[in-house]
Amino acid sequence: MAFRKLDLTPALRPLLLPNEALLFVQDAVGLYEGRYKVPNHQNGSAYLTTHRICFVNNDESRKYSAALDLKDVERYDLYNGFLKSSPKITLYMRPSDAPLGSEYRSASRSPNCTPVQTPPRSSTPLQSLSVNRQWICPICTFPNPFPSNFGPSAPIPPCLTCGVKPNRSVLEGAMNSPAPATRPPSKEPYSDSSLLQVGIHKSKNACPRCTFINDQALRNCEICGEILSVDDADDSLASGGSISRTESPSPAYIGSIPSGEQIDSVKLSFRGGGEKPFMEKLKGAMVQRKWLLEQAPTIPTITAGAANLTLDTRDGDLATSNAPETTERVVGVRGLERQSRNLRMNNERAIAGAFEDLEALMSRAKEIIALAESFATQLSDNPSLANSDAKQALSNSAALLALRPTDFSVTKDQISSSSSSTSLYHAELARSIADFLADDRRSILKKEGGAITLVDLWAIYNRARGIELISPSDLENAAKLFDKLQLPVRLRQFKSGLLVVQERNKTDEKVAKSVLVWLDSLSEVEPWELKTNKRWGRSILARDAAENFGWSIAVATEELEMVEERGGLCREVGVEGVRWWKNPWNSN
Amino acid sequence: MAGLPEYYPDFYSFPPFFTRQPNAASWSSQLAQWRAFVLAYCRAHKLWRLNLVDALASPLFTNKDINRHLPLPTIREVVDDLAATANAEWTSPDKSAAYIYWRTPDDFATQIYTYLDDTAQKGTVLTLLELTDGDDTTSQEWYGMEQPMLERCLAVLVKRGVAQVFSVGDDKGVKVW
Repeated sequence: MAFRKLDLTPALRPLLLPNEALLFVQDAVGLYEGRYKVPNHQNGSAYLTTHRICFVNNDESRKYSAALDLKDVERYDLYNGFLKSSPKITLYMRPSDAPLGSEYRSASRSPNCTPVQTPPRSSTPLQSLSVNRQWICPICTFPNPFPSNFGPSAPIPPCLTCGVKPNRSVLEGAMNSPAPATRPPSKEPYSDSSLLQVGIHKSKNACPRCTFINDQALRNCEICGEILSVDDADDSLASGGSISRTESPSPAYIGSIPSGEQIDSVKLSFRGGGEKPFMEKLKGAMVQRKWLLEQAPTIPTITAGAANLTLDTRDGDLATSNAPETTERVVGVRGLERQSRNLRMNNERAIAGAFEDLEALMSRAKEIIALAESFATQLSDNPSLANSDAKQALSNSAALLALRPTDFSVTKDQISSSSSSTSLYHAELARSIADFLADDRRSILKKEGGAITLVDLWAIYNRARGIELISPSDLENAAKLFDKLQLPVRLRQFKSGLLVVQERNKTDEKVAKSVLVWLDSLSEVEPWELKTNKRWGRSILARDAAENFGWSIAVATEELEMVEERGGLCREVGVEGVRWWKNPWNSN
Repeated sequence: MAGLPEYYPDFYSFPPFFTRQPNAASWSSQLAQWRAFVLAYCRAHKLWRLNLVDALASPLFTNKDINRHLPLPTIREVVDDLAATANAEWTSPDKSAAYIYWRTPDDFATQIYTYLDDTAQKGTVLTLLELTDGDDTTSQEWYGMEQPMLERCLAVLVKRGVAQVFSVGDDKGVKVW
């Protein structure tokens, strides 16, 4: 089957590939393979990304998750649901053995129809037309849509107009014969009627059914309403130029799949609604085909510029070669100066061009990132910037310049607007925040000593998002869901009401223990305050604890108060604030 | 701390001892220590009445060595707690001063009764001043006790039915039998 193993982030979201972006999330989704429900994949979230459709089951997410590459999806259908059956999106998978881009599958059940290798076409509008195969009612001649599940055992639908069920042979005939809806492969032997049609077509825009000769501009037959063929360059190319296409071509395999054969399709059942926006986004993703972009060459002008951008300023020779306008070769100090000026001008142009409009920025994102990184490396190499703080601030801003599309940003428009939308949005936000905090590259929680106040988190998280900022209340609501979603972080409220996000495994007990151990270790050092009795050990200020554990002062105060609450510490209010001592009253 | 009388607790040198602990368990231990210390201090100094503002500066509530003192509200809390067990009595409702019974009135009453019994003064009428400031009672623990306190102790004896208190002019007298 087309499912692949899906890697999940610590927060149980799908791990996105490089350049992959999340488009849409919908909860309460079930998964079908063919017509059957996939066991253990019936209540989960569907994530639509630019590259994949990911399914993550709510329970035992690590075990029951799957991904489907969009590039394997040949076409998709929306079923709106009826009575008790939920709306579904059906994804028809490209047969795995067929070459990429091939639209056809050998029709195994039509003996007179020899499989023909058609030239692969990379992009084609055929997919959406392929369902247009019809059968003609023998009673009223109404063109009925061909039942997609047609097979020897399938029930025969009645005619939509007169309600009379046709003979099975009518349907089979429609399926097997090169129906008006089918584009005949070039070497296929034609029946008389089709030859006749072809002859007519050559002269005028004739209706394939009633043979009425319509005006060239018309798309539908004036008499019977049949869809007329549309001439485009692709047709002549695909059919060898000799035969004009009569009608929207239909991949032959739809009707011709024997009932026993596994249908290569996957259904997403939207039990909580939201199928329409999902469909919209899916359409967009299928049209955009972001997965092809990887290999696509970048715009030439930019690539030419990009070579300049990443250059090191000290590399003089290369700079000269990249500045062809300097025909005159200048040596000496002046030459060096000119070189560096040229380089600066190039960089300036690149930055100015990139920021000209957002479109350009997106297309130049890669170059700008490279430029920012080169600035960063130059900074770290530069010995004159001894002040590490300044260096860090600069490299941070360089990192910010990178503006990389973060994997962490979830926006409201990515989330289904069905009934439970707000909670789903917050759940996704919670997951993305958890991922953000757990991200090894940033290791935010570690830097903050395992706990970060909600206010700080809000600032950092929004800065990381750069755009599409979230509101504090959204953050709070999302943070409240940490426990429910069993994420590796949790929200903790201190007595004073201060809200802190910290690692789940950092329990009060552990914190208290580490604080006391630290205090003990301090006391072993020679007592610094000679006036105090040695037996009381040493005291600390919240500031000391903050320094030692990497907490912020607010967090340190709260943590110490927590330890006091548990009886581990006692306080002494003095002129310099609250000093903390090991609690001697605790033991007795 | 060296040089301190032994009724000073160890905690006297522990800075947090002079801060009211918010933790309930810690506070109850701390309070018990303060109670014991206040009573022991008053006994040692024969202190019957504690004026809180004055006491604040005394060594009882201020440790000059570590430059810490118990804040006034906390002192009040300690004395309140003493009053709850009849070890103290506010002299006025504004809680600015209190009588400290480093023995309970019951104990003092028993002592007075035993003293009068031992010295064969049962049946004689004594003024209260004789009891608290007389030349014969200087060795007694209650020597120097304030009048209202003594009256309270004698009230215990009256209740027991072994004494009678009556006024003699300005003075008050007591007769124990």
